[in-house]
Amino acid sequence: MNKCLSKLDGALFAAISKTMENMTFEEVQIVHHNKEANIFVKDATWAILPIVRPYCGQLVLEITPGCGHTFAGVVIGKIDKNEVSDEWIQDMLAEMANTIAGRFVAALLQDNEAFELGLPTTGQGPMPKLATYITKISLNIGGHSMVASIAGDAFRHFAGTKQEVIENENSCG
Amino acid sequence: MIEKVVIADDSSTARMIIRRCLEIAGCIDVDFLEAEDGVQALHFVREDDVDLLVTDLNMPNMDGRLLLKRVKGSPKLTNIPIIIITSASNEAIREELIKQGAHAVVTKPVSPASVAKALEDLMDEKQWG
Repeated sequence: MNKCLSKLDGALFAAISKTMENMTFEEVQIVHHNKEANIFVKDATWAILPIVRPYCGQLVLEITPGCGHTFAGVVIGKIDKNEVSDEWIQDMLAEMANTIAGRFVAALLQDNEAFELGLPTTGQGPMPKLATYITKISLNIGGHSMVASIAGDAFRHFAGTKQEVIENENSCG
Repeated sequence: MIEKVVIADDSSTARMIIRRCLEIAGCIDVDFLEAEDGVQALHFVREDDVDLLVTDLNMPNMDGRLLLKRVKGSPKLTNIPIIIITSASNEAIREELIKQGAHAVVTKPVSPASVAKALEDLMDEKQWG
């Protein structure tokens, strides 16, 4: 499937793909990308990763409880669903957010520009109020849903230009 | 010979992945000490005869940068090799950390191959048997 994405969405998708491929051995597909999308289920497990500098904002990941158990089974190596605690799932999601944020910010910067990430916060159910959402991508990862968002006005200018093409090698039409 | 390794990361998931990668990379029969932050890691390296410190950068209480500075600034600890495993990595950050005394910088997500490469470089440098 062709996807013509902004630089921001392209960098986010590439960071998620690489991370999930490495951590869960799953292929990632975009279901929907729209910052207004009202996506997700209640009781989602979430992780918020602050991006401190040079651009200030947040990366947010949300997954369903079922998704959390499946990923934890692969990442942590626990097959029995009862062995996987909510704490484990939140810790794993925080680590995924940390890794994705690093790849995402690095892709937006020159190699000689340093950057800094903050410490993650995690939870289940309602999330704290965040800064303005700049983008929101809904993903299918091995049959499970994940939503990834970027908040913070500093990232707005990366959302303007549609230039990245992913999921095949054709150019933007 | 690596016999005792400190793994410092605030994420238990990350510590487990790093440990698994180290084992696959050849660290078998190794005593792993897991630290949740730089303070605990520093305590371990001060109290135990540690052969290798593998640390994240972004941690509460004492981050990996300060831990690196403390270890490399101590005449007693300065010879302990340090591998930094971090998600916040590019060429600028890598260069800065190597300049501060880190032996290798591995970008997350870690893989057995990337950890093995860092260990291999370290072995060559230190001539461990």
